[in-house]
Amino acid sequence: MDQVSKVSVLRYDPDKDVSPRYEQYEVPFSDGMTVLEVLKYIYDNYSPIVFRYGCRIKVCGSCSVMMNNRPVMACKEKAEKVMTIEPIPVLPTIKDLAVDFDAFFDKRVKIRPFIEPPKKKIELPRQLSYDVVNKYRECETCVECLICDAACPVVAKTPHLFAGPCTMLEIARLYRDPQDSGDRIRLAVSEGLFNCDLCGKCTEMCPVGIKIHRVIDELQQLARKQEPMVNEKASGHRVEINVDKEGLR
Amino acid sequence: MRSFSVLEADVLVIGGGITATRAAVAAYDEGARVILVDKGIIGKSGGGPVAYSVTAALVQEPDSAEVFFEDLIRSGQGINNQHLVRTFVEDIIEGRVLELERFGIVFAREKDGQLSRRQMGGHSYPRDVASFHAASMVNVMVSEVMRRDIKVFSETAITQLLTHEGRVVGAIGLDRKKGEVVVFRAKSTVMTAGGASQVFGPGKICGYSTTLLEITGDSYAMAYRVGAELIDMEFIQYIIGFAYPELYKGILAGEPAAHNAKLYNSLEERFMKRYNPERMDQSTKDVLAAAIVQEVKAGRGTPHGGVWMDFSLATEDSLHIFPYPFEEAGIDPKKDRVEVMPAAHYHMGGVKINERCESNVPGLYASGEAAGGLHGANRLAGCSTADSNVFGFRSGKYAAIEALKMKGPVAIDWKQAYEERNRLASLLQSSTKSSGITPVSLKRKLQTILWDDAGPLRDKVSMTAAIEKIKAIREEYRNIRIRQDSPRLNNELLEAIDVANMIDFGEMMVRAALLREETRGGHYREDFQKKDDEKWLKNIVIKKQNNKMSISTMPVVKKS
Repeated sequence: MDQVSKVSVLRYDPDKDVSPRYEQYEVPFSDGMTVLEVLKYIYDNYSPIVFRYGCRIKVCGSCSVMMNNRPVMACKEKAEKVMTIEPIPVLPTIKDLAVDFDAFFDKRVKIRPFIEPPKKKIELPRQLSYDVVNKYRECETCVECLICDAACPVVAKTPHLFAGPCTMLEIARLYRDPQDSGDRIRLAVSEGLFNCDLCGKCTEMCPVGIKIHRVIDELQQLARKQEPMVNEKASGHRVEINVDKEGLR
Repeated sequence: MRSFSVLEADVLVIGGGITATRAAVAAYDEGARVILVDKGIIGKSGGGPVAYSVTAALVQEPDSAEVFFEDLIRSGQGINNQHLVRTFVEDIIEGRVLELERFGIVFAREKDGQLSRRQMGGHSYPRDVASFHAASMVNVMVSEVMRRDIKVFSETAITQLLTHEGRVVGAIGLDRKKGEVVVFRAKSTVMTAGGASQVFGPGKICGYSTTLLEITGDSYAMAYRVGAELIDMEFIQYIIGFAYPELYKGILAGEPAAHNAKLYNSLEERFMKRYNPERMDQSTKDVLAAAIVQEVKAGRGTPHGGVWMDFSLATEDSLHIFPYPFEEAGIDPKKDRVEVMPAAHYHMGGVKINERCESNVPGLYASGEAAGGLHGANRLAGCSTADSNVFGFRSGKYAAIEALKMKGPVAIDWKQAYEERNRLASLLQSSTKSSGITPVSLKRKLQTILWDDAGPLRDKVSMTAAIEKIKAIREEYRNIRIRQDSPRLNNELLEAIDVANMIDFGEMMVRAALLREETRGGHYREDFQKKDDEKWLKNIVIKKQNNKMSISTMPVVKKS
């Protein structure tokens, strides 16, 4: 237990600080320790840093942070001996590592993330084939931790042109629900579907293992078929991003 | 913190889980203006994210409403409020749970497209359905909130209910993102922020509990302070949780019965033979919890204060019904044994309500885990989420109907609001003190007392001592000191607010547990190990009277 982890945390208190700053802490390190345990150690023993967590088992999706420039779920990610911890960049920061989930809520409302009334009344329990259910299930396991958005190079560069993988996944979930009568494909296009380059960073980082870029790929194919007029050109500015060159962020 | 904003609504819903969203949606659909206030982030707090299985009934011959009713009474060991149970059964059969599918949830299906139904412990027939993902139910309800013009305040901790001439007229709270005090003026107030499991501990990261961090008994404490009657406060449901590693202490490890698992103590004995030789590891949760604690107490525990659970006979499927953190903990459940211990899971008691979810205080409604009486001494599996749907809906609906009968805004007793604001401001000011105890150390002290003296094992001596210790904690609370004075997202300030609620809750629980001299369901007395139907087939009710905790008993409400 003599090992230590040198941790640098981005601190920012909007009521007091002129600008954000990094503060260094030394935390006793043991193998298998998670980022969450490191943060809690700092909170208990050094300074009341602000960060969020809830369930500890990857279901509430509230503990996402950037660790050494990678978006990670603090309750799952193993700590390293030298770490820089920052808030995830896709939502406005409120204080230290806590970001404003209200902004996410507002963004969600925009895509009408609820079942648009079906054309005819549905009897309960719904008659659903096993295949439909299985496809639906893929999108449903999302915990809205926003790690995919934080990993997305398109969102990092042009957030106004692409709503992000998390939004696309939600649109796909609604599309895959047979009782929804909304035109989700057109919605996806207007949210920047074709600005996704299918680079797969979202899938790589997803803590619950959803193949997000495959889901987006399927949406793109559907959109090409359903609305040949509303395809790449219609979504306006195409963004060129070279993932290899620019790395993650 | 000096000034505060005032918001007005017909119905104020406190909480952010399935019950709260269900109540808010029902109230809105009745035509009320609704505000929903959640201490955490809506959908990411409370019990919602870990609720995947729900009793949907779907009764078919030979199952019937009567059998379901009897199952609930048997599991509650005869002290359930039978009016509530009857309403519950009727509403579920009518489809209150299944209608979630209309909102977009998809419950698991069999190969032929039929709903897969599971028979859970204590149910006579298969009545439960499950979603694929732990948080599906709450996510779907949050999207229904988004459909409606419901004002949502996430990360706003309600700290006190406001009353005027004996009526609850809203609440005051702290908008943590802005660091501002907000007064919510409402004709009806619905309490749904139930549960108190985090009062047990102390774990390094969370309490000894399967629940999320926010669950600190707020509803019970706040309702108590405005004179509401609370029922069955002594009954806590324990479930088997991880004892190690530290991060996962308390996280659900599943029932031995569901995983075909076996329990061993450090002497490699299957110790359940001492406690229940017939059912062994298949015993109910309350029996297992008490047995494990007794083994540990007798010095036959594992290095981290639990017992061993052997999953080697579990099926692959059963290990995936819940996001068990085996992989993250570096455990291969097929090979390694897991250290387990009891963890607080659910609180059966709560605000005493009727079928319309009204408490004894006008204007105050409660539902879900915040309300008591439905489950009696022990809760049946899957019935918490079903409770959330049935009574969440009812509380929202009746709160709205009452509110819409009233004309004009309700009067506010501003003195109460100022007092509460001053209390919050002085907590924040405590950062200027030169010395004092931090909220987190006080919380740990309290958690230790409640777990060791009044947790899964209780007796007269330990609980009498606990009451004295709680008194001392109350004194120490005056000396609390937080380390940071900026009001925005101040986690220590929130912890200080929580600890005050936890103290009130703890005292209620201990006093009720001390009075009930028998063992029943989630209440295990070492000094009275038998159930005593002659003396104790009744409920204990706690109420604040003349600034004192008054405690009394009442006969069980029978089916009329």
